[in-house]
Order: sequence, then C-alpha cells, then structure tokens
Amino acid sequence: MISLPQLGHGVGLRAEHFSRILDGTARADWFEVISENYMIRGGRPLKILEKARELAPIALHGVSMNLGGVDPLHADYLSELECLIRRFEPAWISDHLCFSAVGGHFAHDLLPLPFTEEALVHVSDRIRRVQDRLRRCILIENVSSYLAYQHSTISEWAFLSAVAERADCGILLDLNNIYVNSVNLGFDPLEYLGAIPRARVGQFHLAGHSDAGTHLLDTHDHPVASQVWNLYREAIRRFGAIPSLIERDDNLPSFEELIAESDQARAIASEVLSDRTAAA
Amino acid sequence: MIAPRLRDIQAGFWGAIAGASGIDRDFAAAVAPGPRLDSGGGVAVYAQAYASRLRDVLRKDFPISAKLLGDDPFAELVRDYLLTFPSEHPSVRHLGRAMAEFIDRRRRESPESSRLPPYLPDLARLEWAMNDAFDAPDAASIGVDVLGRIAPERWPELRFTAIPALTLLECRWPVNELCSGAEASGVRPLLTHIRIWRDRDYQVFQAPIDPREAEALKQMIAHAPFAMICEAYGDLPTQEAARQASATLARWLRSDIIARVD
Repeated sequence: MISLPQLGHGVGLRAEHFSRILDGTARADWFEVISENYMIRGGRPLKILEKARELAPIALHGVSMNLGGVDPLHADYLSELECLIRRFEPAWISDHLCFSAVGGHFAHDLLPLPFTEEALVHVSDRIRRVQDRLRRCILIENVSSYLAYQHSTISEWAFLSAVAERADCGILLDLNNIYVNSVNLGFDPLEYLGAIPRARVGQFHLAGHSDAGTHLLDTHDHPVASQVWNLYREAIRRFGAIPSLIERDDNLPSFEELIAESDQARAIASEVLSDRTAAA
Repeated sequence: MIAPRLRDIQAGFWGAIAGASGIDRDFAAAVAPGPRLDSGGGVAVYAQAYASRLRDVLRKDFPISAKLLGDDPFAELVRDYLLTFPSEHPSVRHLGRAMAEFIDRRRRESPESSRLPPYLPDLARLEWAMNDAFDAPDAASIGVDVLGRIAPERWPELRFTAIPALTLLECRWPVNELCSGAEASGVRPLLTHIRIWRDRDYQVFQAPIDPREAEALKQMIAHAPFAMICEAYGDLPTQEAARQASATLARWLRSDIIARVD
C-alpha cells in the first residue's frame, strides 16, 4: 500500500512561469519539477524553486535515473538527487519505467523496455536499490511508446503491475501515455486501467498529445484531450482521490490556463467521487 | 529463435537512434510491427526525436552561433558533434560542453571543406561561458563599504576572492560584438578579452575589457595581492596607474564580482 499526502491537483512548473513564482501569484495545490533541471550548483532556478516550495508542496520528477538500463546506477546522479531531497523536502519523487542511457551515453529520452521476465527482474531490483539508497518509496511512471518487441511475453499493464509489486514501489499513472500507447500499439486502455493494483497508484499525469497521422506523439504541447479526460474519469472511479498533475512542456499557455485545466481535473474528480459515494 | 538479451536490445536501440550506421539487423528483427507503424517506422520516431530534441537543446545553449550558421549547417554541425560527443551526463545541461573544442578541431582538420566561420570557436566559448555563469555556485558579493573600513597601509597585501560566476576569456575575434547584434560580415580578427559574470539579480553579462584590466582580473582571480593586481597598470605614469587601478576595482565592485577580501 502506497501512502502519500493527498496534495490535490497540481501543475508542472516550467521556466516560463518563474516570474509568477517570484511575485507570488502562481497558485496551485502543488508543483512538479523536473529533477535534472535543478541539479545545478547555483543561480536563479534554485532560488525560484525555494520560492515555489514556500508557496506549495513540490514533487521531484526525474527523467534520467535509467531504471531499466543495464549500465550501473549513476552514483553521482543519486547523490545529486539526495541533495535536492534534503534541500527541498519533496512530497515524493518519481521517475520512469524505461531505459535512458546505454554504455555511459544518455539519450535524454524515455526508451521502452521489452516486457520480459528478464527485464522485470532487472528493473525491479534496481528500483529496490534506489529506494534503499534514498530511504523512501518512489513512484514509477508508464511511458509513451512507438514500438513493441517481438519477444515481449506479457502485456505492458501486467509488466507495470508486476514491477510495482516486486519492487514495492508506487505507480505514477500517466493517462495520456496509456491513451497514446493504446492507439499506437492497439489495446484497450480500460483493460490497462483495470489491471493496475489500486493500492500502488500515487499520482496521475494528464497531458496533451499530437496526431502525427500514422501515430500519436506524446508532445505535451496541447491541452488534455477529451479521450484522456474520459480515461481520467475511469481512473478516479477505480483508484479514488489521487493527486493529479497537468504536464505541459511546449506551446505553453498562460499560468491561468494551466490552472484552469488543473481545476477541470478537480471538478471531474469531485463529480466522480460524489457519484461513487451516492451509488454506495 | 532465442530471445535477445536486455543488454543487446539496449545496445541495438542506441545504435539505431544515435549511431552513424542506422538500425542493425538483429535489433530490427526484435522490433514488432505495430498496427499503425511498421517496425522501422517506430524506431524512426525515436531516432528523429533524439536528433531534434538535442538539436533544440544546443540551439538554446548556442543561440547566436545557431542563428549565424543557419538551420541546415547548424543541424549538420550538431549531428556530427553528437557522434563524437554523445551526452555523458544525466542532465542535458552539460551536452554542449565540448562544442567549442569540436568546432575548433573540425576547422583545423578540414579548413577548406568546412563551412564553419573562423570566429565560431570563440563565439561558442563565449556562449558556453555565459551558460556556466548562469548556474555557477552562488556567492554574496561585497560592497564598496567593506573596502572603506580597511586601513590604507593594508591595501597592498589585500587579496580578493572572485565570485564563482566569473570567467575571463581571451578570444581571437571580438565575438562579444556578434552577441550584441553586429553583422558577422563586418567582424575582423582582433585579440579581445571578455569578462563574463552574473550579478546579484542573477543576470548574466558579458563585456570586452582592455588588456590591462584583463591582466588585473587574471591576477585577482588567481588570488594575487592588490599590489600585484596594480602591476597590470605599471606601464602608466604613477598617478594615472593608481587612478586606473582604483577605477577598475570600483567597476568590479559595482558588478558584484568580488565575494571576499582578506
């Protein structure tokens, strides 16, 4: 059972909104920040993060822990993450169920793992080692994919669930990634949701994507799509009141528009939860 | 058929997105065709994302270089750079660390065929120094009042500590002018010293300085006593040397580049 604070509905903090942090008008239930952007020695971003932390709780979301990689875990990376944890006391930290480095070289992308017993054992063991080192449970996020492997023996949802159970970690369920993969790889997103262990889910990601014609791209440059909002309704029905986060990285709207999307998530959650209560 | 090992899958994936020779046969065979993308199409999405994402990162880190080169030559430069210097750090912030060295080497190795202008290594060094100043360690700067409390007889032995967010560059071209919007066609070779620093409001600046101030700054950064810093003005008449050394020190204080005096 994952036990995390009920932070409500947050937004990803990006440099374009720093001025709103400085003048104290960036109001959100909580902020998620990309850990690597703050693995620096000094300067304005760290000062902004201090200020953001005064305004609201934060979560550290990493993109380069390389949990599924076969390279050794990056000791310096983990040390820098520990420094950030000590300094900013995040509500939780998260990274991705993928690999991102090979032979000491970083792709700066979230590359898909094959869903095999070998990968399951490998990545679970690494998550356990990271959790032991950081002395805390982490959340792992399902990634968007544009390919699958011939030799995968289990489904993505079974793999994610098994990793979480075996590593005893939480799940950051990215609902946009589930939808994107369901279109690109051909599966039922509701079957995916139905297989995820309720007690493991600690956070939802909500984001937009682009239609590239032959496939959907997880671009984070559009508002959340209606299909993803529908999936969010189902996720709230199944998993209950879970903190949500609006992820936007490109084509950034005003801070108010992001908050409006976050409020939409709040309203949907409230409606679904009250329906659920009434039905019970 | 034996299932490929995780290690082989990852090596094959890396080769497919970052290598010079594309997808190898074993990795291609391991990728399943999807309902909308065939196996090659899926890999191509990642290969294109790798190239465009890292090109965008480097365009942000070297905005003037990218603009002066133009889109296609810059893309070509980045493609070749990544083959030689793939990212070795979890943070993409460090990706461009060897760019100036790479450009310099490339120009030396193929000066005829290279379309890289001769000022580009210096410009890349300047842009990278500004990136380094942006997130260098914090240090509070001292004000003029601190010096006012020091007895005059102690001044020759005073040693200063520069803030970490300070760099002195010696360039063969006045690339500071390119950062200020000068036309590249009008720039001629000229030995130029450039000071790069971050002030207390986290703003990063660059400015050319004359050779005497450059020598004085070099001594200050090296923690030399003030008497030795003043020797940078030793070729001037005594009164003028004292006036210029004092003015230089005042300028440094106003720029917030001195963290400590002992």
